[in-house]
Amino acid sequence: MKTTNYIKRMKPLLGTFVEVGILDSETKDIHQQNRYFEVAFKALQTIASQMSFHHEDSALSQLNKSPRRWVSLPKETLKVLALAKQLGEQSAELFNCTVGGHLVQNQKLPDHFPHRFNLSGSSMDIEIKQNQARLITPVLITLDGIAKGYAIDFALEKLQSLGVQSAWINAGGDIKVIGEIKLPIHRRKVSQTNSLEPLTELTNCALATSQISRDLSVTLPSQIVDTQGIEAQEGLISVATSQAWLADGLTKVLALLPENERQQMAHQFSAEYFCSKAS
Amino acid sequence: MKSIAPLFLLPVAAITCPAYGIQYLSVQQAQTALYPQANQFTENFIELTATQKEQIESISDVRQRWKQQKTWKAYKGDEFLGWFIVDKVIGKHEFITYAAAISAQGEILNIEIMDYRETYGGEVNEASWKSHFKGVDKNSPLELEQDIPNISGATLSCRNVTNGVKRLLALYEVALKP
Repeated sequence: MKTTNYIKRMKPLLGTFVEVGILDSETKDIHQQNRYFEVAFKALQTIASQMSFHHEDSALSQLNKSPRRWVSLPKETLKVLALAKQLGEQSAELFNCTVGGHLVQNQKLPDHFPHRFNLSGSSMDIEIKQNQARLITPVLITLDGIAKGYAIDFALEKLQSLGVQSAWINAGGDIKVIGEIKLPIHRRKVSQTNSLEPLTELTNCALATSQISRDLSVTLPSQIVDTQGIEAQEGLISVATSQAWLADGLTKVLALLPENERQQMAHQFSAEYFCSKAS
Repeated sequence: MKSIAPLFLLPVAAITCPAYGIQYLSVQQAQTALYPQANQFTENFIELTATQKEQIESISDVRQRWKQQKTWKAYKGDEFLGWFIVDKVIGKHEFITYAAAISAQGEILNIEIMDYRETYGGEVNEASWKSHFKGVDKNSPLELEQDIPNISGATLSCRNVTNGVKRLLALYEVALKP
C-alpha cells in the first residue's frame, strides 16, 4: 500500500513529534478530515497536559506534590496510574513508575517540589480508590512512556468513536495501527550513522522501541533507570503488542531482563520483541 | 494480536545520507488548519532590523537567524483573529518548517508541522521495501526527498520547535504587538 493513500498531520506534542495518519478513503471531505485530526490531537493533548511531569499544574504534579494525602484525579490519569501499578506488580517491579526522584536528582526532570522526596519506591507506594490516588511514601511518579502510549490508544479510540476505521499514530517512535492498514516500519538506530533498518509491517498492532545507551544527548534526553542493580545491555529493544501503553512499558521491562528470561516475560503479556545491539 | 514478522533478513546496502522529507501542509492548508473560521489572510512580511534581532535573542535566548519573517494577519470579516507565522528550525540535521497561530494578545493558539525532514547515514536498498515509498517503484533508483518512512526508535525531542515558538513570542513582543 503506498503512502499516497494516507492523509497525515504532525504536531509537536508529548515532548516529541506526533504524526496522525488516516486512510484517505475514510473521507474526502476536507472539513471532516480536519475534524478527525482536531479530535485526535485534542485527545493526545489531554493526556499530555494531565500527565506531564514538567508542568507544575498537571494532575500528575498535584499528586507528586501531595505525599500521603488522597488527591482527586481525572479518570484518564487514574487509569494510567492503575496500569502502571499493575505492570509493576506483574513484572516483579522491573517496570517502576516511582523513579521520578532519581530523574530529578539526575536533572532529567525538573525539581518543583518543596518537600523531601524518595529517589524511588515500588508499586506498593501507590494506592487508588474511586476517583482518588495517594502516595504512601514521598516518591515521585513519572508516567512518561506509558502515558505517551496511552495517549495513542486513547486518541485512536476517539477516532473510532467517530467512525474512523483505519488510522495510525506515531508519537516519537511509539506506533499503533488500526484497521485495513499494513504500515511498513523502520527502526532508527541512533548511533554514529543515525541509520535505519527495516523492522516489520504493522497491522492492528502497537509497537514501541527503546534505546538502551550510556550516552545521553539533547535530542535523546530520555533515560531508563535501573533500581535493582541490573546492568542493561546497550542496544535497541522493540516490543509489539495490542496496546501502545503496554508496548512502551514492556520495552523498559525487557531491557532490564537477561536475554534468556525475556521470552517468558513477553509471552506473559502476549507480546513479541526484537532486540539488536547498538552500532 | 496478529503476528508480525521481523524483517532482519533483508539485504542491506549502505547509501550515503539519504534525506527524507514530507510536506504535511502548504501555507494555505496550514492557514485553514490553524484558523478554520478565517476568510482572509493579509500578507505582512516583517523585515527585522539588527536591533530588533538582538532584542528577540535577548528576550527568548534563541538566535534569530534571518531578517525576514513571513507573517499573515488572519481575519473573519473585519474581526482580527490573530497572526499566522511560518517559521523554520533545525531538526536533527535538516530544517523543519512549521506554522504557528498567535492571538492578538500574544498567546500561542496552535502549531502545525508543515514540512519535516530527516537525514540518515544508511538505508535499506531493497526493491520490495522501496516500493512502499511515494513515487518509487521497484525499478526506480532510490531518490532523495521521498516520503519519510514510519520510524520506531528512541524518541526524538521536539525541543527545537519549542525554542522556535519561544522566539516567535519574542518576535510578537518586538515587532507585532500593537
